[in-house]
Amino acid sequence: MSLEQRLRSTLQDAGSRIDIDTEPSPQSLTVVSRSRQRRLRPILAFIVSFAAVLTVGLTGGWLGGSGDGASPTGVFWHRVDEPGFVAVAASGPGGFVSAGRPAEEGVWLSADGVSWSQSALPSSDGAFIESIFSTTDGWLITGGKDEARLAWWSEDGRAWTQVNWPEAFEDSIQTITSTDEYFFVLSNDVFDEGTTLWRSSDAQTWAEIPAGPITPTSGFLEGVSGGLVFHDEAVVSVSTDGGTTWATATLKTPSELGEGRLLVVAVERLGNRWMAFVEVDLGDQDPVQAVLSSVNGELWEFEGSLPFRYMEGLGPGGQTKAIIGDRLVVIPLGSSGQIWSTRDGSEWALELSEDQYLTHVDGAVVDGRPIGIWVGLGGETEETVQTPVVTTTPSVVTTTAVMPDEPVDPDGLEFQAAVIEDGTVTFEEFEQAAEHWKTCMEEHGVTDVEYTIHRTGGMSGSYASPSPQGDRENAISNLCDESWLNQVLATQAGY
Amino acid sequence: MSEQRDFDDFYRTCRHEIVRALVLTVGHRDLGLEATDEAFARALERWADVSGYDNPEGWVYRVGVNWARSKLRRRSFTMAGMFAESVHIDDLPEPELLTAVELLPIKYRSVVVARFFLDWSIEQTAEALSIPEGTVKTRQSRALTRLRRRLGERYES
Repeated sequence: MSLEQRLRSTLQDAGSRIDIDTEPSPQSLTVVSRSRQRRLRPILAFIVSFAAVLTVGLTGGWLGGSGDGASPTGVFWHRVDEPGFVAVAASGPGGFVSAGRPAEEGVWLSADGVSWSQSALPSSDGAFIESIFSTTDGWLITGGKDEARLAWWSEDGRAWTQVNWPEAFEDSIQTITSTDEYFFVLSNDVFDEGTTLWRSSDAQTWAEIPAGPITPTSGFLEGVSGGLVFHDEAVVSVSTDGGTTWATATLKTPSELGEGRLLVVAVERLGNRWMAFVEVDLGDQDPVQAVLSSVNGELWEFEGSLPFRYMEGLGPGGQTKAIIGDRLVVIPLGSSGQIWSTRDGSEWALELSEDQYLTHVDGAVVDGRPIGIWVGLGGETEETVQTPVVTTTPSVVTTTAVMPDEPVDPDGLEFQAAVIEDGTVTFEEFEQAAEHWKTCMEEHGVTDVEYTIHRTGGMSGSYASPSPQGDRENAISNLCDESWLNQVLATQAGY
Repeated sequence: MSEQRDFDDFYRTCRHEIVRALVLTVGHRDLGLEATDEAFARALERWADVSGYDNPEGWVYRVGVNWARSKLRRRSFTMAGMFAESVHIDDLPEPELLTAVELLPIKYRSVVVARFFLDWSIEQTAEALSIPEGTVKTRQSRALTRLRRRLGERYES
C-alpha cells in the first residue's frame, strides 16, 4: 500500500473518531456573527484595483470644470485617470510607482501623480506583483511565479533589475516592510525556526538582526514614516534606528473613554511624535476609536477621539494612511469617501467630504513617504469603477515651466463664447470674472498670471508653474473659476 | 429557497466534515471546533457572496485554517502531543503515521488534509486554500518527503 493510500485510510479513520458532541444551530451563529461585527480586525491587507472614469488634466483654461480643488487645509486634490490600473503603489525616489498584478505589464512611474511613464520588469513573464516598498535610496518590488518568490530592485523607479531572494527566507515570510532607511523581512514560522528579523539597505544584501520585542505572536510589524513599529494587542514597540533599539509600552485605556479593553490598530510617526490608533471595547456599547501619542514610545497620552468610526485598513498592509507634509492623512474605509488629516492627533480636518469626488471608498493605496501622497479609490456610484485621487505638495516639484499661452480647454472656450453671445453673461461680467480669476490665482501664490479676452472666443490664461505639468496651478485655476462662478455667474450661466 | 434556509442546509451538510478536517489540520479538537464556528459565522455574514463560490466548503475550510493559525501564533501553541488529546490514536492501525502528520508544518498539513481526508483534487485544493496549483503539488510533495523521512523505510515509495 502506498503512503498516499495509508494516509487516506489513517486520516479517514482518525477523522471518524473525533468526537463532535456539541453542534450549535445555524441560528446561534448569527449571534456569534453579530458580536464579531463589534470587534475590530486589524488584519486587512488591501489589494486594490481600479480603473479611471474621469479625465482631468492640463486644462489651464477657464470653466474647465475638472473637479479638482483645495481642501480646507489647503491641500489640492486632483482626480486623474492614469495610470489606469493600480493594485499596489508607493512613493519613493523619483516620485510614485504603481502597478497592477501581472508583472509582465511592468510598473508606472510618476513624479507628480498626473503624468505617468511605464517601465518593464525583467524576466517577468508569467510572474505576479505582490507589493512595492521603498526607502530614500531605492525600490523593492516583491512578487512570485508559481512556487518561487521573485524580487526586483530599482534606484530611480525607472530602471529595474531582478535580485536574488535569499533562500533563508523560503516561504516562512510573515512580513516585508520598509522605513526611510531599510527594508525588513520578518520570517516567523512558529512551527520551525521561530522569529528572525532581516534588514537590508539595498534589498540584495541582508543581515539578520536581533528581533528585539518581536515575538512569534499575532502582532504586526510595520515600517512607517520615520521608524519601525511592532504592536500586538495593547503592546506597542517603536524604533527610530532601524530596529537596533526599541521602546516598549503597554497602552492603557484613557480614563476619558471609560473602562474597556484597548486594542492598538495602527501606529504612525508624525513629526517627532508617535501616534497610536486604538479602539476600546466598551462592552455593551459601541466601541470608541481614539488616538494616543508619545514622544519616546514609553509614555503615552490621550489626544482625543477620532471623528470617524472606521479604522479598517489603517493597520499594516492596509495602505490607508500616510504622512504628507506636516499632516497625517487617513482614509477611513467605508466612510463614504471622506479623507481626514491631522497635525497633532487631536484636531482633525476633513480634507475631502463624500460629496466632493467620491461617494464611497472601497479601499485605498496611500503612501506619503518621502514625498507627496498617492490616494486611491472609491467611486461615484455603486456601479462606477473606482477612481483614483492624487495630490502632491508644492515642495516636491523642482523644475520650472511656464504654462502655454494657448487655450487648451476648447470646451470651456466654446461655452464662454456661447454664453456671451446669447447674452447670458455680459461682457462686463466676463471681464470681472477674468480679473477675479487673476486675483484669486495670485492670492494662492501663483505668479506670472496673465489673461487675454477674445471677444468672440472666450478667455485664455497663462501662469507660471514650478512643475512641467502644472497640476497644482491647474487645480488653483479651476478652484478660482468655480469660486467666481459660484459667487456671480452661477444663476445666469445655469451652472 | 431563502438565503437563511440555503445557509442552514449548507451548514448542516458540511459542518461535520469541516470540523473533522479542521481538527486534523490544527491538531486540536477544541481549537478545530472553535475555528469551525468562526469560519461558518463569517460565511453567514457574507453568505450572499460565499454561496456563489464554486466551492463554499473550501472557503470555509480556508477561513478556519487561517483563523486557527492566528490563534496558534497568539497562544504560542506547540503542536507536539496536542492531537493525542483529541483522538485516541492508540486504536489506529498506524498511529505513527498520524503523529508524523501532526508534526508537519500547518501549511503542509492543510494540503495533506485537503487532499487525503477531504479527497479534494489538486485544483479544488488550490482554489480552497487560495494558492496556485503548483504550490499545492510542491507542498504535497514536500509533506510526503518529510513523512517518509520521519517514518523510515517502511513508508518508502
